[in-house]
Amino acid sequence: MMQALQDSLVATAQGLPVTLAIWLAAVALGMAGGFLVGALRFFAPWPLALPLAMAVEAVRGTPFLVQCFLLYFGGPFIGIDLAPVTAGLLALSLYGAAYFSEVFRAGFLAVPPGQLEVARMLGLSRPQAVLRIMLPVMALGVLPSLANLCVILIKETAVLSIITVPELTFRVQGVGTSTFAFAETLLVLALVYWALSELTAWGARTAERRIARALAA
Amino acid sequence: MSTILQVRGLQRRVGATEILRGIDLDVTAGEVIGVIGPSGSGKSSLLRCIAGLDDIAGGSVQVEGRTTRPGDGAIGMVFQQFNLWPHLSARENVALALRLVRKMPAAAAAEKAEAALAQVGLAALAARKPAALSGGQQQRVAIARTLAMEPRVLLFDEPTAALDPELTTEVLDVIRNLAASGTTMLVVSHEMGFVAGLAHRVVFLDHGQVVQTGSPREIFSEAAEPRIRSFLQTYLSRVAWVQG
Amino acid sequence: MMAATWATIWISALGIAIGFSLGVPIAVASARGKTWAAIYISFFRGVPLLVQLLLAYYALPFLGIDLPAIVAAVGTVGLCCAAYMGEILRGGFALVPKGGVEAARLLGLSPQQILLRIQLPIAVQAMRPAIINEAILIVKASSLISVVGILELTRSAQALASSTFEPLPAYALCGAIYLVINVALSMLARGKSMGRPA
Ligand SMILES: Nc1ncnc2c1ncn2[C@@H]1O[C@H](COP(=O)(O)OP(=O)(O)OP(=O)(O)O)[C@@H](O)[C@H]1O
Ligand SMILES: [Mg+2]
Repeated sequence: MMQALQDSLVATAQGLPVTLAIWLAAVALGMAGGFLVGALRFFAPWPLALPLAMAVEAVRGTPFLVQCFLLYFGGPFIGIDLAPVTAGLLALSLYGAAYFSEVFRAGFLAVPPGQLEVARMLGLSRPQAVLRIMLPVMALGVLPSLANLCVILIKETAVLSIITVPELTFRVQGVGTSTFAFAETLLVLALVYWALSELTAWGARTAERRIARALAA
Repeated sequence: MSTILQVRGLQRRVGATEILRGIDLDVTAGEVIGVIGPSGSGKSSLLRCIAGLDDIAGGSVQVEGRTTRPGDGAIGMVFQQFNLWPHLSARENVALALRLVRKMPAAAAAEKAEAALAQVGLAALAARKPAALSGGQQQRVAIARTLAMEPRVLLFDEPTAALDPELTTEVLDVIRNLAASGTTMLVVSHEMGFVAGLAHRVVFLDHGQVVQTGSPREIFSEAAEPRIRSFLQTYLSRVAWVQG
Repeated sequence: MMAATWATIWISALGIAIGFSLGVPIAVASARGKTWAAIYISFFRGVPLLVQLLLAYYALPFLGIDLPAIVAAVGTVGLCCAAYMGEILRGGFALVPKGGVEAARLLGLSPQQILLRIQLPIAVQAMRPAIINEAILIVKASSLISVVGILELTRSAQALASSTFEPLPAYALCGAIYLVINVALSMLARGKSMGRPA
C-alpha cells in the first residue's frame, strides 16, 4: 500500500506539469480565440457571424470526449494526424474558445449602448470608444465567468487521458492498473484535482479583486 | 363585551435599539382599531409582533386567552406588498392553506376559495396568476387568502400603500365591508380619512410607545398632545398640497 | 445506435432527477451555512467527473462496496449533478421574496410545506435557464460513463468506429445526436417559459 501511494505521488509529479501546461496553453489559446469569435459575432455582419454562431453551438452542444475522439481518431482520415498531446491541446482550446466566446459576447451585449454613444459624442472614434470605454466596462462584468471557465477547463483536462495524453489522470491511473491499488491511487488523484480546483478558484477570486480594483482606480 | 386580543407590555428590541417599549392593547370582538403614527414609530413592528413574525423581547400577546403562534390560525395578516405566491393562480393561492393546513379535499378547498374570492369581488379572475392581476386585485386576492382561513383577528399593514391612487378604493371598500360585517381588525394606514371613518378606536404610536388611544374624534379633532397635532398637521398640509 | 441514444437519454434523465432531488436538501443546508454541504459541493465540483466515475467503479469495491457498473455510474452522475443543482437552487431560494414565506408561515404551512410548495417552485421558475443548462451539461457528461464500459451513445460510436474502421462518420453522427438532444432541451426551456404569462 505504501508502495502504491509512493508510486502515485511520483506519477502525480510526472503528470501534473503536463496537465498544467496543457491547461494554461488551452486557457490562453481559448481565451484569445474566444475573444476573437465573440467580438466577430458581436461586430461582424451576419454572413460571418452566423457560421460562427453555429460552430459555437455545435461545440457547446456535444461532449468534449466525443470532440476528442473526432479529432484524434477521425482527424487522420482527413489528413489531420496529430500526436495525443497536440490533439488534446487543440481540442481543449477549441472547446474553451467556444465557451469563452459566449462569455465575451454576453459581455459586449451587457455594455449599455448609451455609454458608447456618449463616448462618440465626446469625439472619440469608434475604435477608441470600443477600446477605452467598452472593453474596460465589459472586463469587469465577465471576470467571474472567465474564472469559472478556467476551473471547468482544468477538470476537462482529465478527459484527455482517454486519448492517451500522458497527463495526471493517465499517469496515476497507470499506477492503479499496474499495482491494482485502485482505491489509494484514485483517492490521491481526486485529492490533487480537488486541491487544484480550489486553488484555481481562490487564485481567480484574488485576481478578480485585483483587476476590479485596478479598473476602478 | 369580551376581549379577543390582549397585548401586555409588548417589547421588541433589535440589538440595542428599542423598537417597541411596552405596548398595552385590548381589542374586543368586532372592534376595528386604527393604528397611526409617524414613519418608523413601530406600527409595522407592532402588527408583526402580534402576528408572531417578529420575536418579542418581553410582554405577551394572547388571543382568547391563549398565547399565539404563527400559523395557529388565530391571526391573519394582509401585507403592504400583497405577498402572493407568483407560481399559483388566485384560486390556488387561496386554496393552498385550506388543503395543506385544514386538510380539506381539493374540490372543497377550491369551492371555498371561490367563495372567498367572490367575497372580494374577484370570482371571475380566479384562474389568473398574480402577475396578470392589477395591484388592487392582487391585494384583494391576498385578503381572500387570509379570510378563507377564518382568523379571529385580521391585521392590515398599509394595505393600499403600494397601490396607485386610483386602485386604493376597491381595496378600501373590501376592508370597509369586512368591518361592517363584524370582523375584528387592526388597520395601519396613512389614509387618515379612511381610518377616521372606519375605526372604532384609534391608537397613536410614536417611538415604540402608545401616545394616546381614543375615538377617531378624540384623536383627529380634539387631541391636545403636541406630537399628534404636529403629525396630523404635516399630514394635512401634504394632502392640501397634493389636492391644491 | 438508436438503442444507445435511448440509453443516454434515460441515464441522463435519471442522473438529473437524482441531482435535483438531492440538490434541494443540499441547497437548504448550504444556505444555512452547513459545513458538510460546502464540502460536498466543493468536492463534486472540484474533482473531474471522470475521476469520480473511476473512484466509484474501481475504488469502491476495495472498500467493500461492490455496485453494478450502471448503478455506480448513474449514481455518480447524480451525486455530481446534485452539487451543481444545490448551488443553482441556493441562488434560486435567495430570490424567493421573504414576504411570500411569511404569509405561508402565518397561514400555518409547515416548514417542509413552505419549502416544497412555495420556495422550491418559485426558485425553479427563477432559475429555469440555469437548470436547463445543467441538464444539458449532464447529457454531455454522461458520455464519460462509456469509460466504465456502459453501452450508451459514445460507447456505441466507439464500437461502430472500430468495426467499420470509419471513426469520422461514427463520431460525427454521435456528436450530431447529442446536439439534437441538447437543442431540443434548450428549446423546451424556451418554449415553456414563453407559454406562461409573465
Ligand atoms: N429588523 C430590524 N432591524 C433594525 N431596526 C428595525 C428592524 N425593523 C424595524 N426597525 C426599526 O424599528 C422602527 C420601527 O419600524 P416599523 O417598520 O415598525 O415602523 P412603521 O411605523 O411601520 O414605519 P412606516 O410608516 O415607515 O412603515 C424603525 O425605526 C425601524 O428602522
Ligand atoms: Mg410600516
